[in-house]
Amino acid sequence: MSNKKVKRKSSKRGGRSKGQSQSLTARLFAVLFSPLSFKLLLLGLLALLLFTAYLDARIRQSFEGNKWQVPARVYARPLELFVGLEKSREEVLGELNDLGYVSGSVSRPGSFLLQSNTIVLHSRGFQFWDSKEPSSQLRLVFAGGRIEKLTDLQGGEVPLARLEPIEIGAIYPSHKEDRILLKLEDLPPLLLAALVAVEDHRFYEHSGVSFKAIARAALANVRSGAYVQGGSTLTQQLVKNYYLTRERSLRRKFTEAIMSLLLEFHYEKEEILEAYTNEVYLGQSGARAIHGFGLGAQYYFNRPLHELSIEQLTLLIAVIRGPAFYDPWRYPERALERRNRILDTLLQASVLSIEEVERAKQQGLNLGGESKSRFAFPAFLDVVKRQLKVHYPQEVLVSEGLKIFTSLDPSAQRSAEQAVARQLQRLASDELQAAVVITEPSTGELRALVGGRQAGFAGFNRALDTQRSIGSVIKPFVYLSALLKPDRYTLATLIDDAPITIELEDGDRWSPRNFDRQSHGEVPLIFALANSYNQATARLGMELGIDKIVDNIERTDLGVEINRVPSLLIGTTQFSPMQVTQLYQSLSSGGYAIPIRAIRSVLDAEGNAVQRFPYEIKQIYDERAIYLLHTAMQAVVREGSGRAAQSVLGEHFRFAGKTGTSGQGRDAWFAGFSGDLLAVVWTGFDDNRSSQLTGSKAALPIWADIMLQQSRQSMLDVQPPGVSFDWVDRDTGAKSKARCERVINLPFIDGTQPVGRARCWN
Amino acid sequence: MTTINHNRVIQKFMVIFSGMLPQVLPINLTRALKLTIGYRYCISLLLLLMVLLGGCASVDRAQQDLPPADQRSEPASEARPGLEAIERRREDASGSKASAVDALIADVARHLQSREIEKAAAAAERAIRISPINARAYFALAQVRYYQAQYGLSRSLLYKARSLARNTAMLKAIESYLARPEYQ
Repeated sequence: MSNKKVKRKSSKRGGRSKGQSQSLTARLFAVLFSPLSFKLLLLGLLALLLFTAYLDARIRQSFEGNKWQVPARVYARPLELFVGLEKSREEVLGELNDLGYVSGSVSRPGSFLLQSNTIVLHSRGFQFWDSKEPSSQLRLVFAGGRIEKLTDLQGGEVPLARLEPIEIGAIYPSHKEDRILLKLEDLPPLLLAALVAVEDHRFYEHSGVSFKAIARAALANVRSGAYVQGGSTLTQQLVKNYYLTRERSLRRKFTEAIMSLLLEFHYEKEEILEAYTNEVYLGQSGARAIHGFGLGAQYYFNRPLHELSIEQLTLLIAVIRGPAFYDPWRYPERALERRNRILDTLLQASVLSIEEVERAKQQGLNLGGESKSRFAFPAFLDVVKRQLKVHYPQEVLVSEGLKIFTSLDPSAQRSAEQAVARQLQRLASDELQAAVVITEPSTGELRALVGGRQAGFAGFNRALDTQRSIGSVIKPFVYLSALLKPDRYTLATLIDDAPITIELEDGDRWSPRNFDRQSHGEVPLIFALANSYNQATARLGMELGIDKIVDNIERTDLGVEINRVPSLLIGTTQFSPMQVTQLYQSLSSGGYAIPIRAIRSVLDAEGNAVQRFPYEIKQIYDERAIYLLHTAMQAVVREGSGRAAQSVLGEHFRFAGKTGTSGQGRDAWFAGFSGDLLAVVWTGFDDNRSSQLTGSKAALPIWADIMLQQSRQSMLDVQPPGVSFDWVDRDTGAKSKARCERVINLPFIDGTQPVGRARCWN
Repeated sequence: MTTINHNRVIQKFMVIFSGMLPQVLPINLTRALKLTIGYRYCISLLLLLMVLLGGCASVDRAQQDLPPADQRSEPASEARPGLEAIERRREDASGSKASAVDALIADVARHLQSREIEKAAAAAERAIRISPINARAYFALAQVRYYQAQYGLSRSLLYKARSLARNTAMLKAIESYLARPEYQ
């Protein structure tokens, strides 16, 4: 209807003898200002208004509060520095390199100086759970593989200092965006000036969109016939990266412009710049996207942003334009050329002086690469994640930027991985697998964990998830159960190793046999364990009662139900290496149940304490019985099935352990401890076929290799009150004298010493 | 996470030290102290006393004839490389980590004074990590847990401390602690 009206009106006008062109203009005028157009225009404006309101809400909602999901970061244990620390100069240097410290003057944090037996370092400082460790200059004097002297630069003694911990991984949201959030005041002023000068030099003048820049870019693009220049302001780039997709369309450009104007309307330039510096995409590491200058500095140089030099900061600016195209590792020349071009721009913009530019241009790319410990230990991280999941929802872990402090010792972890690789290679089997768990004997802190022969790759974690028969590794608990009854058993009590047949509940009969297929008659208890005699152990176990033994095992807080069957006595029960470690923790600690802990504490993104995992300990076994058991387990490695380890570690090194081999060599185990490490090693095939290997042939060499690299303390020899030594005959266990042949000096709980007249029996 | 009832901690603290004090000071002096300067100051004074006594104890340890040189508060332990190294390690275990542990035990006292109980526990645990064979470190943590009325944990820590202590003064202190009614 209205259309007709328009036509009628215009034809009327057309009839009033006016020129053709005039009539056209008039017609156009009429159309434009017709009520219909007016309505359409109004509608359009309303739509635009609604759209703008929607964008406005979106911007305000997301720009206030937490803008990003920040993954939880996981740290290794910090290296504690103090006089008496058993680390060589080289080991401390390795730690400093991993932390990205640079050699040179120590005027700035994150640097060190090397002198003959001395390291002078300037630490960075770090917020720990309990306190803030200040950045400090320290002088470490080494002698004989340990820190002999620790002072400040003025010579004042420093009792204790901590280096910042090495980051070993993070827990990512599904999109795998990674960033370290920084505040504007934490960013080097040079970086900000350079960013503005290169990417958007009218940043402080425009209101989100720079028409001048668009026009200039368009002109440049037309001239060269290709896309050579973008006219986006920093605000537009932020909007594009933060809110929109990467597609290039007019519609997206339009949305981007409106959002940029809105962003500028609501927020200060500083806030926008801060958001930009945290959002900017700077590289790709596998599936992980590197965002923000904070992480960019770590990714390219393994150093915090504020420690970067002029040329390093410039390189970060250089890669913004195309992190893949200017990837400094893949295309170093291209990256270097762009960096130098940017240095020129900074000179023109008077951000840098000619001298600074000249000096910076002389420098190479000086890439550091991320710490080699980052993501290097997936099996350990697996334990951490499992422990965290008990306490935190996944959503919190991937978004709140929590800081997780663990007990991982990177040096022990590397030693364990290398030992596995080295020893498996020696056994010349491509498929033989291994798993290792290492803890501290007294505290239960997890030091290292190897989940398979390819330690660097995440995958099936055999240390946690493979449940295998543990063989004779169980036996110390049978003998402990005996020693906990001092009125009936001592280390010298004779145990009959004659063949034994046990009637089972279902009517079957079970006859365990010794590994060497021989019977050894009556043997003192200590040698029945040292030589791992199955027949003697089965007889002892049946005397004690399966229930009693299982009760004693369950006191370790293992948290699993154990099948109460006689074959348990020679280790048909299946456990994971981690569970065996938990069992042995109670032995290595001197008779205490101590939960194995991988996490020490958790801080939130601002450094506030969130949670601490305290040290818990509960005495479960009589310390005198444990002392006797330790003696027997030392006999295992001194003269029994584990003696190969003693020859590796040396005669003077005191430690205790037990080998284990399950039926036909399907599983080979070694579990043992020194004064400062408890380690459990398993080897076997994933498909459970027989390897024909024994604990002493396959697992023990890995264990001894690790101990040789890492253990610094012999097992303690603290004789508890109520225990005294006596000489006994090795064969009969009868009271003897030191000067007799074939005698051994054994500890006895007071009142249980062998009686009778001491004499030489041979 | 452990919640901390400060008043309770202070009360415990008083109970412990007013119990301990007669061994050190005449009983009427303890009473006089309590009456004249009030609980709060009394506690500060006692803490100071404890720190001082700790200092004296380490002097005692060095001077005592009873325990042999290699059997002080940290027991002897040997290390692998050669006899010469073994001798050095013995010396290490008994003394050289002591300054780090001492510093942390002083931190434990300081945190207790400012009622930061979990920080006190963290400092004691750090001492244990640095020297897991140091009886004093376990003893310090046992005391913190006692203040928190975690008697079971405290008792086990005392047992651990006792198993490592080779110094008569330290053993006595542990035994007298273990004799408290809360542990029975």
